[in-house]
Amino acid sequence: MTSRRIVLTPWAFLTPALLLYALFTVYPVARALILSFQRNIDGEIRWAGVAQYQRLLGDDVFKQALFNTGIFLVVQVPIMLLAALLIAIALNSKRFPLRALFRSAFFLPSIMSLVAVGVLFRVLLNEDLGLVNYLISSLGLSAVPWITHPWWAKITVMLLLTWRYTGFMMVIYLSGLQTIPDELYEAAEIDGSSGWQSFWYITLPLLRPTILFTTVLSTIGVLQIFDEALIVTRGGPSNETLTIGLYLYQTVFSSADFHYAAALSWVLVILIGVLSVLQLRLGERGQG
Amino acid sequence: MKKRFSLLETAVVLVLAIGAFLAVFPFYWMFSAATRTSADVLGIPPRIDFGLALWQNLETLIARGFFLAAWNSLLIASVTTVLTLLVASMAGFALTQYQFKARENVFALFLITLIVPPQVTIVPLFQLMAGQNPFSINLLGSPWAIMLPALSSSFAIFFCRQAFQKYPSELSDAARVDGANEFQVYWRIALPTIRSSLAALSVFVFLGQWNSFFLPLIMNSNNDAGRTLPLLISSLIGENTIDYGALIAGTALSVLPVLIFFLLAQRLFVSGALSGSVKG
Amino acid sequence: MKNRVTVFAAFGISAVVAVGLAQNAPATNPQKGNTNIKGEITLFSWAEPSYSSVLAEFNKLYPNIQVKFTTVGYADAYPKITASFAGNVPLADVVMIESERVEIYGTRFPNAFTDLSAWGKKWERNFDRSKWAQSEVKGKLLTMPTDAAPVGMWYRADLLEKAGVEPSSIKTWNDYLEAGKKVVIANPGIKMAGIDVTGSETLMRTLIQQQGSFYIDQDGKIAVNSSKMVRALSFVKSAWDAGILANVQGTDGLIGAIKGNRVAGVNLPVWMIGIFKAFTPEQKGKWGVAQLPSLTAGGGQTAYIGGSSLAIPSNSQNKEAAWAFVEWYTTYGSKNVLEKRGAWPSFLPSLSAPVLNAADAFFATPNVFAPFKKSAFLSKSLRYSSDYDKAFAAVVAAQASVLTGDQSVQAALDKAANDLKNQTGREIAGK
Repeated sequence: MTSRRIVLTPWAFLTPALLLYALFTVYPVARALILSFQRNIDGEIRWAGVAQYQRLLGDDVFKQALFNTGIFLVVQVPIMLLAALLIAIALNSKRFPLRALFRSAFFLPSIMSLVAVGVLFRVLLNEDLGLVNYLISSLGLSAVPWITHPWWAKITVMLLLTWRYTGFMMVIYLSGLQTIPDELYEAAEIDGSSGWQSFWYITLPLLRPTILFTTVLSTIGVLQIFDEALIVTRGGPSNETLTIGLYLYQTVFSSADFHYAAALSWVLVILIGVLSVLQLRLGERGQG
Repeated sequence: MKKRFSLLETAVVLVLAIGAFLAVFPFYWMFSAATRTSADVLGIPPRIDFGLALWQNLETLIARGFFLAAWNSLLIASVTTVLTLLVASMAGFALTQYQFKARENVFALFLITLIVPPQVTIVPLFQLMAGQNPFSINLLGSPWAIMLPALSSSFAIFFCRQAFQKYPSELSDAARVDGANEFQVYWRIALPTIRSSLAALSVFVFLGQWNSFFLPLIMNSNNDAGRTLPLLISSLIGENTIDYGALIAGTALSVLPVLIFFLLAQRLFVSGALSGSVKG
Repeated sequence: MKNRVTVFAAFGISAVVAVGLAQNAPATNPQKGNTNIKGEITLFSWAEPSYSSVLAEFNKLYPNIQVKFTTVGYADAYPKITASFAGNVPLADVVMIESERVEIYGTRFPNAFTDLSAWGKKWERNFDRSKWAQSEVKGKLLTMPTDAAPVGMWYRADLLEKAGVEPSSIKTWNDYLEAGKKVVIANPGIKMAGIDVTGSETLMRTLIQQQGSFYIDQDGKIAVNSSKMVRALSFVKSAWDAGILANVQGTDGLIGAIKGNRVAGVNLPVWMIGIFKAFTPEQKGKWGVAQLPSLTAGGGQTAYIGGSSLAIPSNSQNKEAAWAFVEWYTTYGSKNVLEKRGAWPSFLPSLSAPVLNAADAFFATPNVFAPFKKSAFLSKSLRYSSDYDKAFAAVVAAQASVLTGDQSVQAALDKAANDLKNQTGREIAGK
């Protein structure tokens, strides 16, 4: 075993992955950077300096999308993660009846494709003919404008995100919980600590890496979402559920404005990067 | 010698039962609506029993090429899964079993690509696939245009790296003493030890590709012949006319195989098989 | 750099083709056909039945041309078209594009289209003027118009009768408003019409077209805050404030409101016929239609919402056969499309088709086509502009902020104009 071989071997194993990344991620992203400094004038591509970025500063739609995405991030992510954590803790207990069945039930929504989710919920949430409003009205309440009202539409998107991803997050928490040895809880019980104390002093600290992982994952997910908003509310009403991801999609495909989209996407990449690093730093500091 | 449930515990079970019902009910509704005509799906009042139009809806779907699309989906998802596992496990193996200078930086590079939204890369990617590359290779119209970009999965590499961290390197050393080369060590000795993690990962990769919509939509220039199931379903949504019956029947049929597989292998999804991945 | 090469290459190809064509104009004839034109062509659309249903008639004239279909969902069509144009990758020999988007693509990707002027110009005087204008970008004929979508005043005859409103008495939008108030009182829980407050601007688009104007004027300047736009939005606001309009989003929302007996009418195009028949068979005999009211007595009544056209991408390998189909389909074939699919022709001679005089027992008015036939094609040519998608969004936002917020009509439209200016770099026209 020569030392040269040691140096080269890992690279040989990494070659396929690195090649794929270079071609299908690094190259397109670099290309987008170049595009963002150009413009299309009647089919001719010209250099435009920072004009696209300047336009972005005065773009109210972009600001609205940023605001909406922020709301989803601040409201939906914590609620979903908390729900997933609590469900996971309950379903981790051996005393829970039929827990395998329950776990499967909660995970089920994440196997459904987004196209399918869109189709189903557009019908179920139809204001006049949907089952959901039918049930609500039969309780004597007034029908909910799920898709047409600015705030309800936001809630609809958040409910959908929660419906689809809570089970997935629950599974991640479950696997995190299973790495915590039962003896810790048994010892705590002998010492006379309550269930709440066990949760606070054993479960939470040991689950910290998992919580951090799911937080970063959901943050990235929410900042990139466009399909959920696209398929059910289509960004409406009045851009109230327009996310940055969806705005980017529209700019690329409806307006065919690749150069502005490239500028938008670089701002988005930087934003996600900063937030992820920030979360990781905070997570680490909390640990220390 | 079970203890009786406390009030709190009973309440928790009840709340979770409601939650589980909400999670599952749309599936039930989907299968019931798949058996209705279009006008009936949007009927007054809404119904949740089964109708008689299932065959009619299936005929519409079959006429639109359901079987071909299902075959395409199966093929693309299977090949993607096998190749992703191969690429990611090799990378994971390299990132855990060897000491080299750039190791952490390479891993960071893989992770950082998680933050790149797919809409950013789609147009340059499309042009690349269309032959605007130094080799003038045009992959559009072949399933490779859909599969290749999906192979660079940071999630899978992350997952494999975590799985290999528990692998005892003494096993490799023993094999090397017996004369195995490095690839044999990876393939014959190391890989089998992370079988259960790979099984769980394969489920996620398969699911991701089976449900994938955006990339296949753009990359499939082979039109009807290359269409996957999500594309077929989406193609049923016209501008002013939607055949809801066929649409929901198609949706149900595309979910059905995954659902059956899920019910057969639910341990893989919801047991501790993921535990290696998020130990942190 | 690569882009420029591509653009140049594409330009080179189309130049060569154009020269080839000039020497050798295709011997097509949409009335007699030509058996010598051969080959297979593909047609990309989200409305396959509109084409497949008349294929037999086409093949009687051109038996040696095979047409294959590539069909995607409506929402998926433009991502595919955009990618295909951006990558100069063949999508199909014939591509369906809505009229409102022709200029958007024609401006971004001028070389992606075959200029049809040399072959198609001869048909110009037979076409609806506005539809033709929407197909021409910078002097090139990029598409041939297929269907037009004239708007009518659809109403529930039974509900109007209950309110004592005679549909023919509604001549102006003011009459409409007054009639609406009666209908709402006589039919609790039911509104006179539905509009998509926050997602679309069909009523605004109707009202501005009736005044012979549009969001971006013929000089390319922003006109969303013109006095005519103020008038349009002011009417929408007064109707909304009077409580005669229901908020209805999307086609599924519209179907819901109609089927759920929440609206007594809609002001939408002739294609509503298909929706009524498909989704509300139980309302047979209840729906009637009349010409739209106008803003002032005797003023403009015509408006179009939607309508499509067919393009031949410059990278098509069989342009002659593609043109044979496009020419037939948009001209004499449009009569067949009207008969089979109810698509309103832009090709004016087809308006004399007997089917347009036939009675349809499904509807309360004896001849459901008559009001649309009466609304002559727009006297002024109407163009959408290359920034229509942005103008649309700005106008919808203005409408929403006026109807759901407390912004004044003028302020909302001024804001729309400024947003558009920032997004497009266009100037704002004087009021």
